[in-house]
Amino acid sequence: MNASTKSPFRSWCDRALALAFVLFCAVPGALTWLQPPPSGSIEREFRRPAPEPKAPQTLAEAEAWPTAFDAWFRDHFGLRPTWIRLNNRVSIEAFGVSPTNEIVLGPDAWMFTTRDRAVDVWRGADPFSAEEL
Amino acid sequence: MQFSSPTFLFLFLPLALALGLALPRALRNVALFVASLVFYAWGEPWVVRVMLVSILVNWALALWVERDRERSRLAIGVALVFNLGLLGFYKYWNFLWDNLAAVGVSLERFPAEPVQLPIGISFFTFQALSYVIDVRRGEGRAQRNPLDFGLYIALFPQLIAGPIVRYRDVAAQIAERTLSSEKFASGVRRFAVGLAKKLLIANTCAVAAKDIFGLDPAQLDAGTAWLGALCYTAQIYFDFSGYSDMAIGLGRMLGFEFLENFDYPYIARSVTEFWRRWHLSLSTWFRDYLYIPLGGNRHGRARTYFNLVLVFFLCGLWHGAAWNFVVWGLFHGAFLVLERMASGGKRARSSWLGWPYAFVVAVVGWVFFNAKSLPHALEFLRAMAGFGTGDGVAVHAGLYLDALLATTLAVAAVGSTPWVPALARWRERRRAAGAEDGLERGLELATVALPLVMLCLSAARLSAGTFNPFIYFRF
Repeated sequence: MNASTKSPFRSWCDRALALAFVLFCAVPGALTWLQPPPSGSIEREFRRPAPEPKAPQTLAEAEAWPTAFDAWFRDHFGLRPTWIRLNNRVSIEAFGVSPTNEIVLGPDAWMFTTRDRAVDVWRGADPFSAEEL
Repeated sequence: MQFSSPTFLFLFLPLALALGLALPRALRNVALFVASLVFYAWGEPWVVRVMLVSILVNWALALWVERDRERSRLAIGVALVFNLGLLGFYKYWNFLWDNLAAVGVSLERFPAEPVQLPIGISFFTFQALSYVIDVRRGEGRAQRNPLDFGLYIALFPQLIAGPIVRYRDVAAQIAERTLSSEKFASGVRRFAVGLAKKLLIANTCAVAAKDIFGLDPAQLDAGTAWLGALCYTAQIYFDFSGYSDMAIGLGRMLGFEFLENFDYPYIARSVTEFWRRWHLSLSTWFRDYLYIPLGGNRHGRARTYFNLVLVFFLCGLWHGAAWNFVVWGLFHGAFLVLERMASGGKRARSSWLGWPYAFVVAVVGWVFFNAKSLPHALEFLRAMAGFGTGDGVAVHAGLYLDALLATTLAVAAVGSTPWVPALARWRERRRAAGAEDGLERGLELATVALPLVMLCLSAARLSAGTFNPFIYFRF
């Protein structure tokens, strides 16, 4: 068989991959409006979601609109909670590391905060200065 | 807009693909041009005016060159002044001003505010300049249609971070290009690899590289400094080559075929070979439009060495308006000269023993590239050489080298070698021999499953909103 002749199976694989990619790209965008994430899903991240940008009335507002839209879309695109859960599971279960730099995973399911240089304090790497003592 | 952003991936890309593939052929170029302008204007709308001026001026200059051969030299002069002036003003004005002020030369500042850099200006300026010069050299015809020329400059896959595409390489594709499910799927595979390189490898390495380069160098011991340098070495390669992969993949989905921009640079056995494998579109640009016109290696050894140093000085400056980029360029230029001298003025040929040397030179070069200043780079290198003042207790490599980073660096090391092309050649030989067995079907299924896994993991990482800097965006 000539290497350049394409088998039906290869053609089928190419079409399947092309279709899957189109769905991968298009579905989250479509779900943003068709099936928004349940309310409260972003509040669980202990922050306020970016507000939906209003239609611009001036040139300055029009220039700022894409940035505001980006911020809103980052918080609201379809399947966002699903992708975040996948990321967290891979981080924790495959590598044993926390998906956020604000938490360090310890033994026996303990978690430790890294805020206020807590890890450095625990390691003794952030001692009081003479003035503080 | 960045490729690795939800707005691009889940909104812009499906719409652009629909426009570029589903519209009637006569409307595709216009639609892609408008989509590219939206892509470029997103976030910083004013920059699109700069690019539109560049498009119109270079389009007109090329027509002038072609129609008035007698005065084409003048037209080329105008093209050089315009394009380099545009680049100089937007990219180097602040740098020039700050350096003049540092040596006590005070001028009336115009404009009074610091100049903002339009993203991708280094890429589209070099692309436009090569086009006008190629028309004068008779290596391509001037494009009559300003929209088609605009598409060549603004085409969104390669607009903001290359590869620097030559007009002659895509002229026929702008006029007419073939679309097929095979080509589209090939583009998807390439895009998935690029996205994974960027989001899964480069961004993971970027966190450690940023933290370690951000430390006070007095805290560094050799292990931590080497870890930081290696993380940055992996970051910059997988970041930039990942972007090039995405650009090539997107181009392929839309029917374009861009030339390769990287050829596994970290397996190079000399610095000369490194530059035949790293950022090929830039190094060939400098070769064709600067090094050879300067005389190349045709006017004796001393002139060749001077030409090499000048080219690499400018190559460093192209990467950024800061002295650390200049030092990085001169550092590489010096090694190219030394290799020429060692080989009697000819191109160096190295054995495998040259690999550790070339790799260490590349890593050391990246320290200059990424350091905040020259003293910072020198202190960092001192720590790498084992003369750092860090005690290895308060700060040590183990603080950064968790299972995720160790796995990522291992994958980066494997991914820096050309095993995928070797595997593809082996498959081609099997197919040519008529293999259509279970193994072949399994491998074919893997070429569907693996890109999808890479896309899902990349989307997961992207959604988690983790660290997402993009180095070549600023050039």
